[in-house]
Amino acid sequence: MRVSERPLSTVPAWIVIGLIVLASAQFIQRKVSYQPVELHVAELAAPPSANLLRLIAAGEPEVLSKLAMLWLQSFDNQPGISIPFNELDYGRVIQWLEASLILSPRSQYPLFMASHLYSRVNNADKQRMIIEFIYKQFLKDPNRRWRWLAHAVIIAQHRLNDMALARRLAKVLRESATGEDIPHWAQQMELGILEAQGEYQSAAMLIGGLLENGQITDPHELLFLNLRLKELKNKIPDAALNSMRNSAR
Amino acid sequence: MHQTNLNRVFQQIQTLSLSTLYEAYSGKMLSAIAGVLALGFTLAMFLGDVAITETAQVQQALLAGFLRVGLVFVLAVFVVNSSVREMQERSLLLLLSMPISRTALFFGKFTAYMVIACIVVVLACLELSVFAPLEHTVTWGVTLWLESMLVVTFALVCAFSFGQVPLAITAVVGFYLLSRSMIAVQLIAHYPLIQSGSLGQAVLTFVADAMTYLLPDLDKFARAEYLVYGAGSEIQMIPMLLHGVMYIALLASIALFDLYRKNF
Repeated sequence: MRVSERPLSTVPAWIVIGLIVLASAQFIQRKVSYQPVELHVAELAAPPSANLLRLIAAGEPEVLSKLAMLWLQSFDNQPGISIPFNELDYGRVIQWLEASLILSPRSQYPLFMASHLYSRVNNADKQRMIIEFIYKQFLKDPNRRWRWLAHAVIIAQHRLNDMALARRLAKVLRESATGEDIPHWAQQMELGILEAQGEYQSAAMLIGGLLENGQITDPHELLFLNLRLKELKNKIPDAALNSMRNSAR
Repeated sequence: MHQTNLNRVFQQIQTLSLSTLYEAYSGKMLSAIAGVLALGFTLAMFLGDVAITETAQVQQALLAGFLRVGLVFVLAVFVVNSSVREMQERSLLLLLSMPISRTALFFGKFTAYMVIACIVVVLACLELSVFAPLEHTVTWGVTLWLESMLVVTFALVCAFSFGQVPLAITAVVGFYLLSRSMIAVQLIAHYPLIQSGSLGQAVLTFVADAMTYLLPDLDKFARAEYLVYGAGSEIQMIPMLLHGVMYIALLASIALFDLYRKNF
């Protein structure tokens, strides 16, 4: 059915005026009542049970897993990162991360968030909870999740200053992650602990190694890790940085 | 003379309203509404058996959520289907060939939809009053009626603009979902994980902000908390109701503008 348009002059003036006035009123109302969105970190609720999540997913668990992570991310992702993370209920955060992994066991997103976001909290107990979470998830699929445990080793070594824990994790990494794709340096992290490198140096080597071996292809992850690497390199003393460059050659 | 003209327009509006009401009565719309109400009631009873605490609150919240989406969707489908069918079967052309103004035609339909939405909401409130206090149900019902009218008027705009059922329904569903989730969209746009400062990010933030200016605040309408906790105070309600009425008037003027320009 073809419907053509009549000239603008056929529209009564009161309709045109009404339209302009009401559109302006809508704009003004929104302008006046506009309130910047605020996140309330203390209100993070527990996720539904695994069975209920599967039911909600309606045969598309991957989709729900991704949506859950985006939701969690928007929940805590705000300026002044250390303060909100401190206020977050980490028990709940871990429940959400676990729920996402139950829905999509192959997804690396929850482990990425645990390793690179939630571990940056300035609270030893919460950092230990994150390490425990990464450790448990690593054991379920070591060859796919080795890099998160490698990062956990660095957190244990440098932020918690718990050398025993760092060595234990590095040992598990060496013994369990035995796939062909696991780089040599990841399996040798135990030695690094013994050599007692600085935190920023170790983290920069880990991220630099990940970026160089070409396993990371996602442009957002590449950007995030490159920014993090730059941030870390700015904190490394010049002498240590030169030594890193020499060892890379 | 002017008074006579006005009376004639009101008579036309009344006749057209009654005709649309009869269409709703004789069609399958009543069955669809009855189906949604029955399904909601069964669901509430079932969940009442499953819940181990706050049984009434669980029933109120889930029944309200179900009825809100279900009834608004049925109303929108009825409006789109009825308007598009009239355009496709040329009965609209027949009406326009008579001495009936397009304003009377629009308001005839609009009034009928207002009455239908009101009846549907009253039925929903009656069902909900089995589980919730009546005064909470009234607050919820008033906001649901406004929400229904917003969606119904938008459905009229889409039906006149697109002239096709699938396109119009898709647009209505998109409008409804976006209006209800603008806060989530804004959060995602304003707080990206990587503050790259890229053009794409700036555009996304701009689009999210622009949409808040264009869309109504449907996330504040007919919330289950009005029922469960009686959260809808007068101070919150009055600006919201005024904004709802104003937005309906805006949509109505868009629909009229489009209707006047159409050459059927």
